[in-house]
Amino acid sequence: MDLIQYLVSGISIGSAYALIAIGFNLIYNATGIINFAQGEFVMLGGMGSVYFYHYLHFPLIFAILSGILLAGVTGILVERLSIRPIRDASILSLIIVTIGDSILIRGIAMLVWDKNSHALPSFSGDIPIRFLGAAVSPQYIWIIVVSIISMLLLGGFFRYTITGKAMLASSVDPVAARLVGINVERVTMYSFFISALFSGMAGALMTPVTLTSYDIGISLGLKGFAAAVVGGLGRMSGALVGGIILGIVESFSAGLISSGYKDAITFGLLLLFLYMRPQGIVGEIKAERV
Amino acid sequence: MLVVRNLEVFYGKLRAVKSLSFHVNEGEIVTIIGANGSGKTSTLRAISGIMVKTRGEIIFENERINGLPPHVIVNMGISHVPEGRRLFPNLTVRDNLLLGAYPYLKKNGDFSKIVKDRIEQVFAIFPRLKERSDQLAGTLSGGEQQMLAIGRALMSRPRLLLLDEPSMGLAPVIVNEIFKVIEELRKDMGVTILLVEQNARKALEISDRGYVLESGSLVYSGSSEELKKSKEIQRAYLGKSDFFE
Ligand SMILES: Nc1ncnc2c1ncn2[C@@H]1O[C@H](COP(=O)(O)OP(=O)(O)OP(=O)(O)O)[C@@H](O)[C@H]1O
Ligand SMILES: [Mg+2]
Repeated sequence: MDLIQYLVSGISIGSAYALIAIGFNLIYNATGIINFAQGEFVMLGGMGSVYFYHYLHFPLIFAILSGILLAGVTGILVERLSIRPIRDASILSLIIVTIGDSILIRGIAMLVWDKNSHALPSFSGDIPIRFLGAAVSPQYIWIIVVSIISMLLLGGFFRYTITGKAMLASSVDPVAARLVGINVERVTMYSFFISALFSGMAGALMTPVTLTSYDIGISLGLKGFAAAVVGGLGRMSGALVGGIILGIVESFSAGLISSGYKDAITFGLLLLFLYMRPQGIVGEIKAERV
Repeated sequence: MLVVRNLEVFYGKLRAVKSLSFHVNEGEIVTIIGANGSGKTSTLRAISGIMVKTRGEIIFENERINGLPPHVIVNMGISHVPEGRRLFPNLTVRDNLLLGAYPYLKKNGDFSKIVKDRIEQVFAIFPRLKERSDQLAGTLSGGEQQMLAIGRALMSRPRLLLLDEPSMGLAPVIVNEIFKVIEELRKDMGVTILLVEQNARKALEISDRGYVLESGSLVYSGSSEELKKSKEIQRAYLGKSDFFE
């Protein structure tokens, strides 16, 4: 049953894309910036885990957590060192700065580590699980389960904690947020941190199935961005919908046509949405209240 | 309580407020009136710290506050109800109120009993908000939004409340209701109030003193009685509102 296999791997890779898309959305909502360094957070999650596991010999779970944390801390550094000092600059300038950040982070990763591809062991071995007649690699299930749990936690964070609410408030009206006493700079920093954690998590989760390297952020960043646009930029539920659609489309096209077309299809979907439905699937057309 | 000396507020090169000096004593209701663009909002924004390009001195309870970030100023006891309400439309009425106590919640943890009591107190002042506590703020009527904006500002337990055109766009009945609440805030909670209004007649009715701004400069000041009697002010500010009433 190849179709079931494509479906499961599509949903799985798609939920990892959703994590990256959430990363884009968090920073977009906090600052209006499309962060071109988002893919580097994904890379750091993967390469960091590899480094802590293979070179520092951490146990797998700690290696992964450290890799994700490395991405998160880098998110904070990007905000503090490159965004905050020029916060009043135009959005376009800020976006260009993130392109610089991305080149810098990738360069440092290449120098500190290397140019090779690296793997991590699957979290619970490689013996396929039988599912509706198909053989599914357990790592795919790990990706789905961990992604869904983290998204639920993030949803709970926004709904039930005062910091989460302050984040929502700062994104709709930073001036009003300041007036009630929210330190908007601090909240923006949290957004970068969580954003980078989620993207780093995607990188660590995918490494056992897709491998990782210093430059993998370029393509995975694009995938996450496409997922965010397809779902509706800035929409958290959109990220999940967009990610899974993208994952399934990719997986079926790779299985039924050829894996060579995967990236072309991502691009095609991205352009299609930018032209035909820029607000995404979940988004609605913004009606400005006067 | 609040002393402003030679305040200047800039938007780029534009000087929106020019060498403005005034003060508010503890327990007073003080009104600033003035035509569109005379610098009323800019003055309030300077006091609460969201306008950073300022010159001169703003002193609150003997401490200089210009240059301090807004969240520090809120913590000192100044709350600002901005022009146009500026609620968080995607959050519920209750969450808007909750965020009004943000600095307090950050210090004391997310589930503070005191904050729940404060919410109940706001509901006691504005019972209509209680019925709508789980509704999104963006779906409230104009009057309810103004009530919520005031309620949110009260959540930080301010000693000085800055109100920017609370009557804007509201029906006369609602305006009366809001102004009655403003008077009660001073009487029952001891809040000092700096009120900015275009509805000069109503504002002078409830306030002790008033200042009149014209293109960023102070042109008159005096007790509300004096201002109401002044021929020039009647012609420039009170006549116009007669026409609309
Ligand atoms: N964001 C801004 N950028 C540039 N100029 C501004 C800005 N906000 C206000 N101004 C200018 O500053 C001056 C004072 O504006 P302000 O909003 O303080 O007046 P106001 O008395 O509150 O007016 P209104 O009664 O219309 O609310 C005006 O000339 C206005 O055009
Ligand atoms: Mg104004």
